[in-house]
Amino acid sequence: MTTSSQPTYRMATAADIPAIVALVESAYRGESGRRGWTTESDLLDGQRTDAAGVADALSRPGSCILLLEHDGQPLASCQLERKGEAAYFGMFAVDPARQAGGLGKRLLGEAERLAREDWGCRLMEMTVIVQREELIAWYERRGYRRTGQFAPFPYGDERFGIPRRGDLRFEVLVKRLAGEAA
Amino acid sequence: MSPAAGGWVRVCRQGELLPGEFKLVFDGDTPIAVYNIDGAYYAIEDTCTHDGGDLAGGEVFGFEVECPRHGARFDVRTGAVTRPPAYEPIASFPVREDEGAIWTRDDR
Repeated sequence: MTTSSQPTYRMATAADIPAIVALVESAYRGESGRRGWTTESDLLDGQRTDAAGVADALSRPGSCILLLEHDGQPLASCQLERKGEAAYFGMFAVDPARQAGGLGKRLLGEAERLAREDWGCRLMEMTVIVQREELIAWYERRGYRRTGQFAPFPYGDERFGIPRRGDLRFEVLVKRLAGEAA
Repeated sequence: MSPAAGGWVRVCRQGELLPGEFKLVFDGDTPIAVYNIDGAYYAIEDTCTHDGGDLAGGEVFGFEVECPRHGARFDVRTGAVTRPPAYEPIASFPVREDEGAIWTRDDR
């Protein structure tokens, strides 16, 4: 087979851990993150995740990492975890050099389809740092709603980064998946 | 009889839903939005009768939730319409606190 011209979806395996860590770090942190249209680079230093964090997301029961890749290169990734009627969507990353091209929208859509059709979930839930207003607006354009439910940022746990400000917190966003199945 | 055996749907732990927050659950095919407003819980069907779309997530004014698309408002205590362009009420459902959790159900 020659190289495919279309990006394809694939479930990540343990062999993908280094590539996923690199992709997530490039999107969430540092100068590379600033090349994309949304990042946490101005909110946090340190790391977003590491090999242990990604390995945990791959091995925890009901959890997986979905990849969108092209010619063997991961362009975008997300964690998806089944929690009863709801699925949790997180650690979403798109290669900063490829952002604003619709890849994230496609991967989010595939994650919703998988949660709805393969898992029978009726809701997608996620938590977003409230200071990322442009990102929340992007999710709202895709049918997500702010719930007013907040969760504390894990201050003091450097596995999730080193905050540059003291008021970071997460808001829960939710979208109904039920009724959209064909 | 435990709430679950009585057909109640668990919403969340008691204390998990703070004032100003809502949570979505399903009873069968009925989407239910449960609100905490000033410490009291209210459950309504999460479907605007104007266009059939999602309702919760719109801004809350006192006991009224405003549909995020066209501005219709409903009283979360009763489901009554308080502002057009909706004219039909939405369903409101009972809320119960038991076994350390909040429960609701579609009792129609």
